[in-house]
Amino acid sequence: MADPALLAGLIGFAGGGVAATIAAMRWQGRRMRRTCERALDDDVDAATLPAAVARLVEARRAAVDGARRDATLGARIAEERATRSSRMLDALEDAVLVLDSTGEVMERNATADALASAWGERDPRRLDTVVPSLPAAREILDLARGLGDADPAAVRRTSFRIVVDDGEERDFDASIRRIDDAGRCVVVLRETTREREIARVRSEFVAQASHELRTPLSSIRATLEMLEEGDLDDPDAQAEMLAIASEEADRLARLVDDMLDISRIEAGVARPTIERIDLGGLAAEVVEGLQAAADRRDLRLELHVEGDGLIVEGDRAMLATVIGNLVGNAVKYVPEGERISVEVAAEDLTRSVVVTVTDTGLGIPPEDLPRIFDKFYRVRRYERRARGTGLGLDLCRNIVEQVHRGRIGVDSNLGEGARFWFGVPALHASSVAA
Amino acid sequence: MMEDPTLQRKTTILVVDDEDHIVRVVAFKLRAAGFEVIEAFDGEEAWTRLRDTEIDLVLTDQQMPVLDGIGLARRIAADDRFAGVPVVMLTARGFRLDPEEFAGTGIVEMLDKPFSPRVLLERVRANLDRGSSRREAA
Repeated sequence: MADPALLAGLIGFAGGGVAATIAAMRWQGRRMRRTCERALDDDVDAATLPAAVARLVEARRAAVDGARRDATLGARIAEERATRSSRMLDALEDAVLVLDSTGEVMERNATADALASAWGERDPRRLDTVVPSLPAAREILDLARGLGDADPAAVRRTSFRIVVDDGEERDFDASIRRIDDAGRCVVVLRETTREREIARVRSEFVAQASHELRTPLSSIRATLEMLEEGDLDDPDAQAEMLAIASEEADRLARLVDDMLDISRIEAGVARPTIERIDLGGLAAEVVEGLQAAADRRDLRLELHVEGDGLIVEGDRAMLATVIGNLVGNAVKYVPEGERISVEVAAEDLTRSVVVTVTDTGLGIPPEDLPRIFDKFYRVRRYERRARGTGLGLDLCRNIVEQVHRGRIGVDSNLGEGARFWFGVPALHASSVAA
Repeated sequence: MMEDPTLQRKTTILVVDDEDHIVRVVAFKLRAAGFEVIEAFDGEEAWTRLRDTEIDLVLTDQQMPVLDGIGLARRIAADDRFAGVPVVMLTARGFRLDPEEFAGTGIVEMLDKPFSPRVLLERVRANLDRGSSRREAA
């Protein structure tokens, strides 16, 4: 868009040139252009210029400034974009490196920096600074080199393990891609140590579970074969072996149930039916159900419920399982003639309802306490006392912590009995003393 | 029914398992076949029995508290008093032991749980025969 003042100036300038000769006009034009150029370079004071030239110079200056401004803006945008890209790369949990065609490291992100410093930073241009296993680094370089004429979308993959000085093992997956025609490659290293650990725990669980399943199966299978082969013709022998087989079949069923319950909770697919539950009433029902078993072992089983309104929100069957397992364990493991006390009370501090099962039994050795809630962990000194599934306490922990967002624990001194407890959030403040 | 009527005493088998149901089932089968059976519920208890009774063969579980089956077999192999006493091991692991785990043990045979009492009895007899022929050859 033309500036009217500038146009008027140009017309005046042109009008002044009519009286001059064409040559003079040409000279004047050249001189004018030089003056303008000098003026633009700030060599000439604008005040010494004819008004029209000054306007022209002013316009040119403005245009040049604008262009400069645009260039600065463009540079700033480009710079911001580069910063953003590099921050994005640094935010990745994977290590990213760019290799040139000779295999030298041109760039790396923060995760790669962290790996290099974890191993003890050396030459930053060398891949084995980030991948401190020569065979692995060599393989990655070979794969990168092999990508030379491959399809640009081609990816090469490998995996490797780094053994840290303290013996710790860290696993990585590497993927290598070409990024330009100059043979540069990007190498992405993803740590898989945690996945491997999860797989190891899972496979250990399966091995342990298979061991636990084979044990009851052994007695059942052996009894059936002896029955079939006429070894059990004596009625007493037959009754004894069948009782064993039947007990082991029950154990097998409990084991399978516990395994399924735990795996459903751990996988997050358990569907608890959440309702208002009077934990005092529920404890009373469970204790009543175990009374006969306690009587058989001459155990005194007592229940103390502190006041009414010990209401929680939870899954009734699941919480009954927790109380049943804790009291049931005491009934199984506490020596005959001892006492088991079940207490249900509100806990002000945590606004929860706490169930405590205290016994006067043998207590638990301190070395067993930290692992007592683990799957298939058994306190050695109790092992022969009763045949559990080895999963009861793990199931309790899962139900309390995962499903009810509560807490579970145990205190014990060897020789002084044990105190198992769990707490789940109280439904409303009124059930908890202010 | 005596296993070998020429022997003054019955052939004695030490059965070791922390699962008392398994001990009872195995002991029943072996006693019915005429063997004397001594029971133990962990490796340490078995070791005590070995020292105060003459044992012809040890049939032990692998995974047990206090002292496991491999530890027990290793002790037996290292002690001259029990030279030639074969150890048959029952395992619920479902996979074979590594050769290193076998090394330095007197384990002559592994049987998987669940097991067939008939096969177990056959293997006990076979290993007793092999053991006695080894002893005679020595």
